[in-house]
This record gives sequence, C-alpha cells and structure tokens, in this order.
Amino acid sequence: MPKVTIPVGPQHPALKEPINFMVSVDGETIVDADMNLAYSHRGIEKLAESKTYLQNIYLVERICGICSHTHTTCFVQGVEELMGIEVPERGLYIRTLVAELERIHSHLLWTGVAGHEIGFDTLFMYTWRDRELALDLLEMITGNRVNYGINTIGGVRRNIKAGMKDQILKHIGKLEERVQYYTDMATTESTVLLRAEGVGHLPENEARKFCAVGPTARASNIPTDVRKEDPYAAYEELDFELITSDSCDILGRLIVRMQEMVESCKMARQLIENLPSGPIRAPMSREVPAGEVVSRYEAPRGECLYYVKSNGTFYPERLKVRASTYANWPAVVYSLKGYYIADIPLIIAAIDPCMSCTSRVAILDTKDGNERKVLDMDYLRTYGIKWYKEHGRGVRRR
Amino acid sequence: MSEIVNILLAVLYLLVFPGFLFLFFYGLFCEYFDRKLYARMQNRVGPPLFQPFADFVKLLAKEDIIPEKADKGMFSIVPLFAFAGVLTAILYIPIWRTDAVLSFEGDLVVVLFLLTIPSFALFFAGWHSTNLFSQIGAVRTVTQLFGYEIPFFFACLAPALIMGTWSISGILSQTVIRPEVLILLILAFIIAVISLQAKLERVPFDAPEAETEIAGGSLVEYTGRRLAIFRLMFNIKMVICAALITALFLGGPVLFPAVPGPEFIGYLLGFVVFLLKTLFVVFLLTMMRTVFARVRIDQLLKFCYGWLIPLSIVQFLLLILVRSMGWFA
Amino acid sequence: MREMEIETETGNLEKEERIKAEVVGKLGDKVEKVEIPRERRMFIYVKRKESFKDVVKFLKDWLGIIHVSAITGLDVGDKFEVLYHLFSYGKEKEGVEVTVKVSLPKTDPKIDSIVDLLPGAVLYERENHDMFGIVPEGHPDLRPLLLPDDWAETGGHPLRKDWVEEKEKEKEKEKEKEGRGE
Repeated sequence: MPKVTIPVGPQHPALKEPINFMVSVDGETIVDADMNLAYSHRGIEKLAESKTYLQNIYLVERICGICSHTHTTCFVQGVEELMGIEVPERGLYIRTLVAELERIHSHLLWTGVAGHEIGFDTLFMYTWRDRELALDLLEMITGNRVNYGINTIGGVRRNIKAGMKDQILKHIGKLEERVQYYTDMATTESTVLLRAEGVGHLPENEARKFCAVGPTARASNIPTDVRKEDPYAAYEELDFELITSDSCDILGRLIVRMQEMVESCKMARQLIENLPSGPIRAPMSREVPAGEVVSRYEAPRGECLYYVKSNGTFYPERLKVRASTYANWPAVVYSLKGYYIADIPLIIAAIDPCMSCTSRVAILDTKDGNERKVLDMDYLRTYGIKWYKEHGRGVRRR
Repeated sequence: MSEIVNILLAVLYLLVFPGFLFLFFYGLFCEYFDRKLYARMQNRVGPPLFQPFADFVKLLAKEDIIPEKADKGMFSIVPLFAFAGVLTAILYIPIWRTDAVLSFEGDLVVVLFLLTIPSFALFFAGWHSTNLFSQIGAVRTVTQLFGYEIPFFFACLAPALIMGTWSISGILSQTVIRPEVLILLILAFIIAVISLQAKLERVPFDAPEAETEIAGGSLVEYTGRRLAIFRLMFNIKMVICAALITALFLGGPVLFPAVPGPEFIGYLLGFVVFLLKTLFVVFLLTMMRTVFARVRIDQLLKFCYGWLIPLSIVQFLLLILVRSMGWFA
Repeated sequence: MREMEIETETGNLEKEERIKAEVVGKLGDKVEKVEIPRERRMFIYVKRKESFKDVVKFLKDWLGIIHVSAITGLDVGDKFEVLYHLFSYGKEKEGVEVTVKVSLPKTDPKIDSIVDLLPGAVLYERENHDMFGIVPEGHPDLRPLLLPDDWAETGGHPLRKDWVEEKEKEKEKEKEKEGRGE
C-alpha cells in the first residue's frame, strides 16, 4: 500500500475522549504523526476569573472526572499558601488518603483500558470490578464516587468516623491482593508481553527532552515524583518508594503503575493507622491577599501544576491549570513513530490520556457559510426540534 | 415422480435441515453460547438467550447506507456471496449419521474451498467500501489468510491421509471402524483449532477487524441488512467449521460405543452428540478468546510460519511413517 | 527558640540560595531580582525581554534545568507577563520550581521561542499564542492548538482581559439597536 494518512479520532473506538491524530503510515508502519487537541475545550480558565475562590474549588473539580481530587487539592493548596493558612494535620491526612485511593482507582481503570486496547477484555472486566472496591471506599469517606467534593480552603469537609477504619483496612487488604494478582498476570501472560514489550520506546534522554511527567517519565527511568521531590499534604511523613523502570516501553509503564498501586495501598494503610486527632479544617476568610503562587501535585498521570494570582479581591486574577496529560503529548508523538498501526491505541493509552484535563478553554461555534456563529443551548434546542420536524419521516421515536 | 421428490428433498435439505433454517438458529445459539460463556468467564452476567436473535432482527430494521464512493454492486452482492458459500458447505458435513447429505470423493477439498470464500468476501467488502480503515482491514484479512490457511489445510488433510479417502463421510465411516487412529491426530486437532480461531478472526487473531485499532476493519461501512447478513454468516461459519472439526477429529455424530436400537433413535442420538461436540469446539474457541490479548498481524504470521506449519509437517511425517509401517491398519 | 527557627529556615533554603547566587553572580545585569517565597519555589524576574533567552540558556547549561512544567501568560493591564515554570529535578525534597518571569509590551507581544533549547515547551508556547497572542519568534509551528482551526484573526485572544465573547458583543449590539428604535 502507498503512503497514506489515516485519521485517528476525534471519533475513534480506541479513544474514550476526542483528540485527533493524523498518522502517516507506510503499509503498516507509522512514519509520522501530528495531533490536534482541544475538541472538548470548556473555557474554565476564563470562567475561573469570574468566580470566587470557594466557587472555583467546585469548578476545577469538574476539569476531570478521574482525577478530580488532583485538581481541587492543587488549587486549594495554592490558595492556602496565599492566605497563609496552616491546615490541621488530620485534614492533610484525609486529603492524602483520598488522593491515594484516587490513584489506585485511576491506575486500575487504566489497566483495564490498556487491556481493552489490545483486545484483552477479560483484564478490562476484572480490573474494573475490583476498582469498585476503591470507589466504595471513596464513597464512604467523601459521600461521592467521582467528584468527591471533600476539599475546601483550609482543610477537608468530612471527617473519618471511628467505624470506617476497619472497613478501609479490609478493602485495602483485598485491593493489595488483587493488584498483586494483576501484576503477576500482566507480566507473565505471553500475548500481553508480545504487545507491550519494546513497544512505544521512549528513551530517557528523549523523555527528559519532551518533559514527560508521571508514570511515563518514571518508566523511562527518570526518578521524578512530586510527592518525593516537592512533598505536599502529608507525604513528608509517609514511608513509600519511588518506582522507576528502565525498560522505557509500555511494559515498563504497566509495571510502574502496578507497583505504584502497591505503594498506594501501603500509604493508605499508614495514613489510616497514624491518623492524628484534632480538627479537620482551619477557619478561613473569604478574602485572599494579593500575591502569586505555584502549586504542584502528583496526579495519577503525573505532575499537575496550578498558578494562582490574586489581586486582593474575592476573585482570582488568573488561574492557570496545566494537567499532566498535556505535558505528555509530545512524548506520545515521538514514541508513535516507527511502530505499527496496531500499536497506536496502546501507545496513546499508555500515558493514560485525559482529554478534558488537556483542554480547558474554548467556545462552542460552528461554521455557517462564511458567517461565524456562536450556538447557544437555546439555539441548538430549537434547531433540533426543527430538524426533526423536517426529517420526521423515517426517524422513529420510542 | 421420484425426481420431483428428490428435488423437493434437496430443497428441504438446503433450506430447512441441515441447511438455512437449522443453521440460522443454531448459529445464533452458538453466538449466544459464546457470548454467555465469555461473559461468565469475565465475571459478567452476559446476554439472555434471545439476544443474538434480537440483535439480528434489530439490524435488519436499521437504515441501510451505501457510501457514496463505494462500488455499489460489489458492496451489495458480497455479503450474499459469502453467505451462499458457507451455506453450501454444510451439505457435505455429516450431522446425524456417518453419511452427509451429499458426498463424493474429494468433497473435503470443496468444503475447505467454500470456507475460504468468506475471507475473500471480506477482502472485497473492505476494499470496495473505499474507507481507509476498511482497506487496511481488507489488506490484513488477506495477509492473515496466507498465515492460517496453510496450517488449517494441512491439519484437515491429515485425517484424509491416514484414512485413505478424500471424502468427509468416508473419513467418518473409517473412524467408526478404527477409532484408535484419532489418537494420532491430536496434534492436527490442536493446530486446526488454533488456525480456526485465526480463520474466524477472533481474539487473539482479530487484527483484521480490531475495533480499537481500525474501527472494525472491513465492515466499518456496513450497516443494516448487509451487516446483519455478514454477522449471521460469521456465526454460521463458526458452526460449520466446528462441525468440520468435529467430523474430522472427534468422530462427528458417532457415539462411542454405539448404542443399539432402532435407526431413528440412532439418528436422534447422533444429532445430539453432534451438537454437544460442536459446542465443545466452540467452548475451546471461547476459552482462547478469553485468556489472550490480540496479537499484531506480523506476530500472527510469525507464529503461523514459525510454529503451526512446522508442527503440521511433523504431523504429516508421523502419519506417513505410520502408514508405511502398516500400524493402526 | 527564634534562633532555631531561623536556622532551620536557612538550612532548608540552601539549594534555593545556591541557585540564586549563581544566577545573580553570572547574570547580574540581566536579572532584575530573584525571589524565594518559600522552600522549593523561586521567581526570577528578567529585566528585558531581549535577554530572557540567555537566562533560560544559562539555567539549562549551568544548572541543568531542562524540565518545562508550563508557561503561563498574564494580562496585567498595559503589558503581558510570561511565566516560564521550569523545574529542577532533584532527590528527595530537593526539586526546585524556578519561575522565570518576563514582561512584554502589549503593542509588540513578541518573545524569543525557547523550543530550540527546551523542546518540551512546544505546546505551551502555542497555547499562549492562541490565548494571548504572544508570538514566540522562531517557533516551528504556530497553528491554532486549543482554539478551533477556523478561528479568525478577528476572533481575538480569549484570555486577554479586554476580550469579550462574541455572543456578548451581539447582545450589546442588539441592545444598542433596541435603544435606537425606542
């Protein structure tokens, strides 16, 4: 077959969210790749400037469904630093516990998706079943399964009650066992090895060059982890290891994530066992003194960075969000080259992409002749009703 | 008079049993069996019994779209072509007794040929859809064909070699006489089942239609009726391939030891035995689907040429040795 | 008690002070000031945008800072500020977030691209180009990244403070018309 360019996305079964890769292939081999981001751009950075700090917690929580705690913690940390609030120990511990449970559920989710990308649906079904254990814990602690809404400026909103401890420890024990099982399975199953070993190679120097973060960087043997380098919340007091792998391929990323789940279970156990007593949040005022701050957080996908600038009012002057997936795209484009079409889904999935995190600012508009139009919800609604009236025949209603 | 009866009988065979009607329901049942088993092994509930049938009917009612740039004639005729190919093959495979509806010396080759038609149909379907994904799928289908077809042929011809006949019914009657020969064919059976998985384009050998890579491959442009026919064709192909393997390696509808009694009870029993054995083959195929991840097309070819073909040659050499020494005669 | 506190603080800030000393010592005239708000955080204010690339080059070559975390654009009234969040890898509790701050006049929002030095900045510079109209000179590819591909030149740069959504503009126009009608 001659050299052709195939579009992968924005709508493609391998992608759970919209992104577009224009992949040039020669036969089955990829020779070049180009990407197009931001199909789900939502204007959050602009919107944040017109909301108070407290409202913004709930806004940034909705940047991502999987790592919602990441965004609130990162934001709240920054604001607390601006206000000079000292968060009580117990609040920090609960925050960290939720963060680690979130990491477990995110990594399990990723393992399942990676399994699905290589046609290994059994792994997908199993990991997602066990992910429920982590989600149950999160629901018990925070009251929600996805957008936890537990962070607030100065601490957390819900306490851990005495009876919860046993339940949490029990579930963590189960999770540890399951994670061990998946580690064994994924690293010995021959077809998984065939697909993951040596694929999506990202050498250390290239990973540094493209500023890869999180498990992607750690699998390329870069020992970088915000929790270690720049400890926040309660991480300074925790005993855990920084996992790296020198295989630089997808198998490495798989193993790093698996081991990290083991570490997360360990951390969760430490947090529960050493949970200090006391208040869970410090009092706060609504006003934030002028200043600027850079807040960093290790999301399940890597480093997340917030820049908050305040001007002394109730509203932030500027809120900059850099989610972890965004930092990893150049590395993906690099590691696609030279592999097969069959490897595209897995290589893209290997960074655990989260498109909504990546794209935060946009305006809905369509091209209508030469005239640009901004379509609002009302317009779309009337348009839809009109369309169905005209095309009514053949379109059946339930 | 008898000619009319013969023609009517032939129509009956082709359209009702063991032809279209039986294959339609049994094919859908096999899909259910496969899906349910797959779901249970993955810790899911799985579909209800009539789900495949409901899917089929629903697809028939869906809008039928032909891409503007596609070759309309080819696009429409290819599913029917493939469907007719697999339907014909059942007539040569014994279902309730050792004799098939039709048989002649060499029908094994005809069946093997008829079973390759769907692969070519898929190629034409993909190629004439003029969609990038479907064309990649089409190329992969043909690439894969050269991988699995050789070991599959070798494996299916092994029984013919040892039994000394090229007719499926003939092989089966020989099997009844000396069932111990089947032990020699275990290796061929394993090769046949593995290459059958590739022939059916199922995980781990489903690169030609890999949903997460090329969005369904050859069939990406197919909708409605034509897709329904393709899907039904896949189900029937699975049944017929399972029936072929049953007849060649598992003794077909023959129960060992044979139960004495009236003829029709023997036929009924034979039919039940046939169903159980084909379901066993389907079970093996489902197991493979559950425990493996998809391999790439180049890895598949490597596997076929590196392992399956050498092994089937070993099987052949073994059988030639056995024949020349006169063992198991 | 107070003495101890001071001691620990200076002890903690050792690496930051080291970087500061290097930067101030070697780049003295190019850097306006260096702030250390807390442990592991630094702000370097660059005097003139022309010399900004030298600062990044120095940080890369002498201090081995090659990780770009993000690039933030800021609209501060009469000028833009661009913040380069660089990160110095380190062992446990050793990483330092170095933010290089440079201001640009709004009339000529051009700055040297650092993609040739730090290829990881490629997307962030494109993003600022979209959102603020800050042109990184020498950037290989300045197609719209976050904005739609058909985003017109007149569409403006959404994160500028004076930017108004088109819908709002239309509403205002309608209001004006209504006003005239009455």
